[in-house]
Amino acid sequence: MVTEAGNPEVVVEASGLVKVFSDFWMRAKARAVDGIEFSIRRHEIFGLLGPNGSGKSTTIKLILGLLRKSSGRLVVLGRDPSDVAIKRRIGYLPEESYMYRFLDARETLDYYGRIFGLGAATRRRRVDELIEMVGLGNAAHRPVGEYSKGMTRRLGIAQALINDPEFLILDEPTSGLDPIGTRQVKDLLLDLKRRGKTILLSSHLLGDVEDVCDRMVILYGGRIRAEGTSEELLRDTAHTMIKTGRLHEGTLKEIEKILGAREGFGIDRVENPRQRLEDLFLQIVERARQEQIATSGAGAGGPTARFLLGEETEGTGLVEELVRGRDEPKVPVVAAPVEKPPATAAPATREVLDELLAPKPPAAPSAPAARAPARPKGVDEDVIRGLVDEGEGGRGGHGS
Amino acid sequence: MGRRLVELYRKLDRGQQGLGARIASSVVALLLVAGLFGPLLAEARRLASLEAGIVEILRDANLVERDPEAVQLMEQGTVTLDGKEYGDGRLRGMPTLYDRAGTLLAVAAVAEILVEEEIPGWAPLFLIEDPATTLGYAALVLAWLLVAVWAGTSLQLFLVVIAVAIAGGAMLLLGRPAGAFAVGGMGVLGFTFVLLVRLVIAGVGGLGQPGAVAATVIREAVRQKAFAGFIVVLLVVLPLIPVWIDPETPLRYQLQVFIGRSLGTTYAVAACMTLVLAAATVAFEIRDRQILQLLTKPISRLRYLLGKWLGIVLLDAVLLAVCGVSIFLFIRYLETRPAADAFDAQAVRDEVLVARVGLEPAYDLLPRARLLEMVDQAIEADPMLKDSIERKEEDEFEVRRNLYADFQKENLAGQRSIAPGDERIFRFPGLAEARRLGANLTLKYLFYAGDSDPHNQLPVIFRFPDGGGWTDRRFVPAQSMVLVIPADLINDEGVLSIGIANARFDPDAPAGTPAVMPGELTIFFEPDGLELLYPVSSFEANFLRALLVLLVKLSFLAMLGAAMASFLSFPVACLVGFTVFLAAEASPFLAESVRSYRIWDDEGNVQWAKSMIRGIAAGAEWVLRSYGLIRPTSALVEGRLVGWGDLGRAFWIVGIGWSVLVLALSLLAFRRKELAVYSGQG
Repeated sequence: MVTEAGNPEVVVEASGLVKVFSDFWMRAKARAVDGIEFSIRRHEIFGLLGPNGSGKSTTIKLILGLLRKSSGRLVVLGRDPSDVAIKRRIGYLPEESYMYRFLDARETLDYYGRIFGLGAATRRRRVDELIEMVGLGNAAHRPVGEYSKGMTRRLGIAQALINDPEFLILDEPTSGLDPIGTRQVKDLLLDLKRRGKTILLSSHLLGDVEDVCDRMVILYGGRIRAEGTSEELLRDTAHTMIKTGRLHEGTLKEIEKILGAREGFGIDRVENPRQRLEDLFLQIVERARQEQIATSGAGAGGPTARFLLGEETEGTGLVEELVRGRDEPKVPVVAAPVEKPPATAAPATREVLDELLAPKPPAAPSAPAARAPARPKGVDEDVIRGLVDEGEGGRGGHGS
Repeated sequence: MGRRLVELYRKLDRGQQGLGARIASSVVALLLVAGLFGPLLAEARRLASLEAGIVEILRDANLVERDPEAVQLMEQGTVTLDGKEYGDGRLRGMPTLYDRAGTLLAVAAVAEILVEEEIPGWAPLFLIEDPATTLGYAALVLAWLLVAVWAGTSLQLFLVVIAVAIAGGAMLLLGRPAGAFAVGGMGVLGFTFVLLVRLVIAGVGGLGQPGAVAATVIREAVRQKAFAGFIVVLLVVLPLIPVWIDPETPLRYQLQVFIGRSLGTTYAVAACMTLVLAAATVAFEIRDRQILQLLTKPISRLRYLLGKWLGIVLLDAVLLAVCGVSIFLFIRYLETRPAADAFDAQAVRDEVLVARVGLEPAYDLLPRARLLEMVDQAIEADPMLKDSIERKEEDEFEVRRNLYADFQKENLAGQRSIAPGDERIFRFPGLAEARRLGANLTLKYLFYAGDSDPHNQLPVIFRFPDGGGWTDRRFVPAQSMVLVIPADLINDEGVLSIGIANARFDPDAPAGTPAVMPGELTIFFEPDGLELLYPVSSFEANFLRALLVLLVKLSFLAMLGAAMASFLSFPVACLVGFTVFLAAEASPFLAESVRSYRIWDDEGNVQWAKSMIRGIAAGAEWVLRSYGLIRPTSALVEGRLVGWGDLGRAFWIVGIGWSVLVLALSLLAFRRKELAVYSGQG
C-alpha cells in the first residue's frame, strides 16, 4: 500500500504494524498484530471487524498509545501515538466502560471535562446536554456503582464525546444497549459523520457495522483478511433483486418464462420481504412511549447534544457560527431514514466472514485489495442514483 | 415514610442553596454567636475591669507605710473596691508577697487570685480570662458557621447539632459528662472535616489537571468505606483521649500525656491512611482499568501522579488542621485546670507549654600538641605496640588515630565526673538572647553514682558564681531531674556559669562544725546528662510548626505510596511503603543498634555475614536519618523547639528531595509500563 505520510486527510496510518506480547522472561507469547497496513481518512466511519482474539482491541490500543508497537509504522493525527497532545482531539470508548464507582454521572463527566481543560460554563453545558442525550437524567446523581451495564455504557459514550473529538474510537459501542440505545448510537454516529468527524468503529455486531461504516477491514489472527467499502465487500453482482408489490402466482410464472427465454435461468427464490426485528421493536416501544407507560432505569435518550452538532454558541461564537453557517456549503442530509437492505442481504457479511474462516488451505487472497476511494460514497450516491432512476421512469433501487 | 423523609431532606437541601436562604442562615448564625458569646464577653470585660481596678489600688499600696489597702490585704487577705470586698482570705498573712520596701510583688497575679471568686460557674474559664480571647473565639465560631452556611451545609449542620444534642444529653443524664464532651467533639470534628473537604474540592478546581485528579482522589477517600474508615477512627478516637487522662495526676503530666497521645495517634492513623490510600488509588485504577480511560485523554503520566499526590496531601492537611485545632483548643482548656502545686504550675509554664532549645556545657578539649605528645608517650611506653608498628603488623596511622580519640574521650569523661567534696564549674555560653527574654531556664541533669540504685537519694549543691547564691538538692541516680534557674543569673557576656559540688548542706549542723560536707560517691554523667534549656518561642508557634513538619512527612509517604503503586501491585506497594515508613521512624534506634552491633567473634575475627548486615543497616540508617531525627511530637511533649530550621530541613530534604527522587525513579518504570494487557487467545 502506498503510504500517505504527511497527508492531512489521513487520520491514522499503519504500515507493517506488528505487536508481539512477551512474558516476564521476554519470550514472545502472542503475535497479536501481524504486519497490518491500513489508513483511516478524515470524515469517514471506518470499521474494524474480526472474531475474538483477532487483534482489533490491540490495534485500537496501539493507536491510543496504551501499547507500544513491536515494529512497523503507526502515525495518528500526524504524530506518534504516545504524544499526549493528540489525545485532546480523540474520544475513546473502550470495550468495557471503566468508570469510577464512587462518582455519579455528572461528576464523572465533569472530571473528564476538566482533564480536557474545558471551562466551567462549557463543562456544565456539555454535561447537561450529554446526560440528556444518553438518557441518564433520572440517574445523574446516583453513584455509577449502582448503574446497570447499559447505563454504564451510555455514560461511557458520553465521556467519549465530552471534548467534541475530531477522531472518535468506539470499541463495541452498542454492547449492553437495548435496541433503542443501539439505534440512537447509530444515528449519533451518522450525525457525527455528517459533521465531519472521523470514527473508528470496532464491533462484533455486524449489522451495526454494515449500517454505518464507509470502509472496513476484517482481521483474523492479527492480519487483514479483507478490506474495502461495504459496497465493494458485500455486493453480490451475480444476482439481481427486484422489489415489487404483491404478485400473483400466474404473474410469477410468466416472469419465470421470460427469464428462461431471455437469460437462460429461472427464479431462484420468491418470498415476502421481512421487516427487521429491530424496526418492529422500535415501533412497539415508540407506541408504548406514546401511551406513557412508566419505566424505571435509564430513560429514553434525548436528541444529539447540540455541541456535537456544532451548535454550541456563546457570545461572539454565535456570530461566527451564523456567518460560517451561511458561507459553508451544506452536506446533503438524508431526512428520511435510509431504506435498509432486506434481511436476506445481512447474511452476505456473514458469508464473507464464514468464507474466510472456513477450514480451507490458504490459497488466493481472500478479497481484492481495492484502493479505498478518496471520499466516502455511501448515502450521497444512493440518493443521486435514486433520483436518476426515478427520472428514467424506473423505481429507485439502491443497495445491492 | 423513609422515602418521604429522604424526599423532604432533598427538598430542604435544594432550598438551602438559594441566596435568600443563605442570607437568612447567616443572620441566624450571627444572632446565635451574639447570644452565646455576648454574655461571656460581658463577663470577661467585667472581670478584666475588676482586676484592673484592684491592680490600680494595690500598685501603690505600701505595707511598710501602713497603707490601709496593704494592711487589709495582709491582715484579711481581701481588698475593697467600690464598696465591695474581694478575696477569700487565701492571701492573708503572707509577707513574702512584699519586697523589703513594702511594695507588693506580682500585683497582677494577686489581683487575679482576689477576683477568682467572681468567676461564674456557668462560664468556662478559658473563655472569659481575657476579653480579647473571648472575641477571638467568637470570631472563630462565627467564621465556622458562615463557612458552613455559604458552603450550602446549614441543614447538615443543623442535623449534626440535633444528633449531638440527643446523644450528649443522654450521656449527661447517665452522669457521664466526659462522654457528652466526647460526643460533642466527634460531632464538631466530623462536620468540620466534611466542610473543609468540600471547600478543598471546590478550591482545587483552579489547579488544572492535577487539581481535577486531586479532587477525585479526595472524593474516593471519603466515599470508599476502606479509606473513610481511617478518617472515622481518627475523628472518633481523638475526642475520647481526654476521657482516658487521669485528672488526679499533676497537670504537667496530663498535658504531656494528652499532647503525646493525641498528636501521636493523629500522625499514626494519618500515616497509615496515606500509605494505603496512595497505593490503592493508583494500583486499583491500573488493575480495574480506569486508567485506560483516563490516560487516553491529554494528561501525562507525571501530572497523573502529581494529581494523586496532591489529593492525598490536601486530605492530610485537612485532617491535621481539624485535629490540630481541636487538640490545641483542648490544651488551652486543660491549661486552666488547677495545678497540683506551685511547682506543677511552674512546670506547666516553663517546661511544657513553651518552646525551648537545649545547650550543653562547653567542655575543655585537650590541645592538639598535647594530644600528640600523649600519643607518642603511650607508644613509647608500650614496647609490644611499638614493635608491632615497626614490623608493620599494625597500621601506625590507625593506631595513632584511635589513641588520639581515646585520650580526648577520656579527657571529656573526666570533666563529667565529680569526686566527693569536689566542685566543677560548667559554662553555658551564647545566652544573651535568653537573658533579654527574661524567662526562666531549666537545667536538666541525669547523674549516676556508684551502682546507681534508684532507691537512693544523693546530695548535690548547685552554685552560681556570677549571680551569687546557691541551692542544695537531692537527686535520684539514673533519673532525670530539673532545676529552674532565673534568667538574671546570666552574666553580661551571655554566659551562665554553674558550679556543681559533690557535697551536702546540713542546715542543722551544730555550731563549730561545717555545714557543708563531701558527698559519699563520685558523681558522673553521660555527654547528654547535663543540658540547659531555655525558651525561644511561644507554644502556639511551636505547635503550628510541629503540624507543618508532620504534614511534610505525610507528603513524602503520599508520594512513596503513589509512586510504588505505579509499577507494583497494591500489596507489594503497601509492603514497600510501610517498610520504609517504619524503618524511617525507627532510624534513631537503628543507629543505636548499628553502633553496638558486633561484627567480630570472640577471637577477634570479622564475621562477613554480620559485617554485610551491618553495612546494609548502616546504609539504610544513613539514608533514612533525616526522616527519623525530626520528631515534632516528642519535641512538643518535652517543650522543645521545633524551629524553622527543622521545618526547612524537613521540607527540603524529605518533602522535596526524597519525594522528587522517588517520583523520578518511579516515572522511569511507569512511563515504560504498558497499561493495557494482552486479551487475546493463545
